Amino acid sequence: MNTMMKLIRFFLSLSLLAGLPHGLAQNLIDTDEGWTAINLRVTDELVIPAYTTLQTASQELVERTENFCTAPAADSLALAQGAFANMMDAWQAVQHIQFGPVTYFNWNFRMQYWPDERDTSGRQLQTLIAAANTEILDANSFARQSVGIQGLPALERLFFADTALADFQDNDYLCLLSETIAANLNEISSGILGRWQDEYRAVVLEPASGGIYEDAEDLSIEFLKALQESLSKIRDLKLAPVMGESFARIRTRNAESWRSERSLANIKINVAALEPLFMAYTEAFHEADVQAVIDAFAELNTSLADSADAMVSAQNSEADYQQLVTIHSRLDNLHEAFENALKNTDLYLGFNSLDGD
Amino acid sequence: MPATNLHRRSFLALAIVAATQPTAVFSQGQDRPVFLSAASDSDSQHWVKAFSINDNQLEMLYSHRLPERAHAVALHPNQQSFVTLARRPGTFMLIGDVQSGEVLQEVDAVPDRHFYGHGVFSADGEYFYTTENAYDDTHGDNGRIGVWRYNNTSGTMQRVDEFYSYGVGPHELLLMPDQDTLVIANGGIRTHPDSERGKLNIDIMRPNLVYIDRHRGSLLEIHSLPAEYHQASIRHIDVNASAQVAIAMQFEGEPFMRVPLLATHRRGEAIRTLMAPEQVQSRLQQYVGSIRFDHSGRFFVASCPRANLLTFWDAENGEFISQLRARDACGVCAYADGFVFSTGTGRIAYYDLLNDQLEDIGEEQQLRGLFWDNHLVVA
Repeated sequence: MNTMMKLIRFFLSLSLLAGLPHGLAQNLIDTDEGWTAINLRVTDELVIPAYTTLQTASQELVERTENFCTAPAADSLALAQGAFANMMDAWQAVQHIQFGPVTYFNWNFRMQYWPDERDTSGRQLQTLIAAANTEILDANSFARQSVGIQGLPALERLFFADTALADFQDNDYLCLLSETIAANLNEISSGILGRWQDEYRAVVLEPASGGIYEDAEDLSIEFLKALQESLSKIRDLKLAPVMGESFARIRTRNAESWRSERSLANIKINVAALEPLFMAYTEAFHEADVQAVIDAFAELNTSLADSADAMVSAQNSEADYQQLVTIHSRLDNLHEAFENALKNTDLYLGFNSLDGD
Repeated sequence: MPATNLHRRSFLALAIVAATQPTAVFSQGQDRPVFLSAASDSDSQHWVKAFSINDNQLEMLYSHRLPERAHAVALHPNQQSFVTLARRPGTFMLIGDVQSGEVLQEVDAVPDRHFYGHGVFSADGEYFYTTENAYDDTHGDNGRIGVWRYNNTSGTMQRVDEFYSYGVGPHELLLMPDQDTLVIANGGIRTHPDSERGKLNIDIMRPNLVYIDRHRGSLLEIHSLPAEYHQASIRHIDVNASAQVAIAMQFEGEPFMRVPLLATHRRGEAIRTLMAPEQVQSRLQQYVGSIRFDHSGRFFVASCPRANLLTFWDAENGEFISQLRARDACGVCAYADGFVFSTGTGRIAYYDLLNDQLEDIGEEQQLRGLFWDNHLVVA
């Protein structure tokens, strides 16, 4: 490790030292090799397998969609919906990774444009279907269209409409569009997986090469930031806007994937993916802090296990609504436990990047 | 660590011509440079801090605790006093002596106004101009320029006048080389202290770049971006000796849109927008934090803390030159053959743009637990 790298590590190590009780802050992993070993394990055992599952699910989605579209029927629609669910499962398991290849070519937003506060996806799909525009369904053309019509939320609207089967039977264009979206998702999934395997794994091995990261610790911070931001996103985007201020103000249509009734299923998968990510980095944290985070995960998992996959029941049952409140509270506890763990180390995730002006 | 270069060869040829400073950096015997920046710490206390660099060592000079986060520091033209201003929606200014750090005056905003963290002196040092929010004007152009008379002897100032900024949410303002004109970045975002830091008009915001006569406050020129970029908040600016303005923006629209976040401008012309190569542009997360020309006035740095990048540009042809990974880097100022930069992780470093060399400055004890805020200046 050269002098500059040592200095960078050193500066990073200082950012939260002052004022901490008992002088806890310290660099628990102090070599590039130490960080790289973890980063590589995360890449090989979590990230690439998750993207592999996503790619496989996207292939199944293509096949099930084509099968459904050969002769739209209730059973083939159910299979296509099942393939969509598998695809969404796979995406939720890796949704927290918002750096690296998933950011290339807007792949992240093209995979899932959400939250969609202005109903962009709905309006654009309506216009597109009314025009039955087949020219844009060419793969090259489609990739350049609005993200609102390209990804999972668009396909969910088509597959999970109350009148989906009749709509597809009446309008061939819906099949052309669905097949195009499925193929697009397959293309994106293959692209992300390929880039991780062929390019970004090499970055993980040599993070400072080409100036992409300052060093291996910098890349580790990227993974840990993904964890922290995902916890915030679940709490602040996936739950809070649904819960409103009280049971009377619940808005289940603010939930992710409400049409396919899997809003809480998504969160369960998110949390299940975040826990092993944290566990991969435990040696970077103090033992007591690790235990606090593990306990917070356990409490959250208990609440999630007691919940349905859909959020819609919370609209009619105050007890179910209270379950959302509990999940939100336990997410908050987990977020705080993780923040505390970070504060007792040299790992600082951002200041200007989080609250600049 | 070298910067990642895309146009490095052509840049180097230009840089050799453009270089105006000696290559010895931070050597002993020079007049001591005094760097100033707002900062926070891990106890959530807020400061303005000064440090110097001598023989490649960082020397902390003084600190003043502030009631809340400040944003930028403005220097008097004689470089003897500084002013640091609260960030939105704060209402304090602190005037201090650059060398001794003595506090000369603490100033509150006038009633029904707050600051935006930026101010600038007139060239004669007799006036100080601040960007302010007349927040009770909830529908019109609520941007104001506070005019303060500065007493060189006492180092204190008092409010004497107020101009329109001809826009909403003015942020950074600077004096043009003619010394009679102020250039103002009206960010376009309506805010109100009752909503803390909430943004109230994102769908209809309309930022602009304005030039006014600093003596009378009259509008000289007003420029906007094309309508498709109306959510690109024009926030930070710098101006070189040839009156070219470099512009840094923060896009408030959809995160997937590829929109320019940088631009340049000369009076009488349209704003020229700049785009980085896709692999850089796609990482910026719609946010540029600070922008400064180098000493030659030909090149500028734009800090992109959300991308953990510093980006370097040729202002003459608008070309992207290179990038440097620097976690949470935001404060930048021209120094020697490049820039000194500060980060939200406490780091201070010098990047020699000419020679593509990076050098960290400072010792462990000095920078422990500090988060340097958006902007950095050197006297």
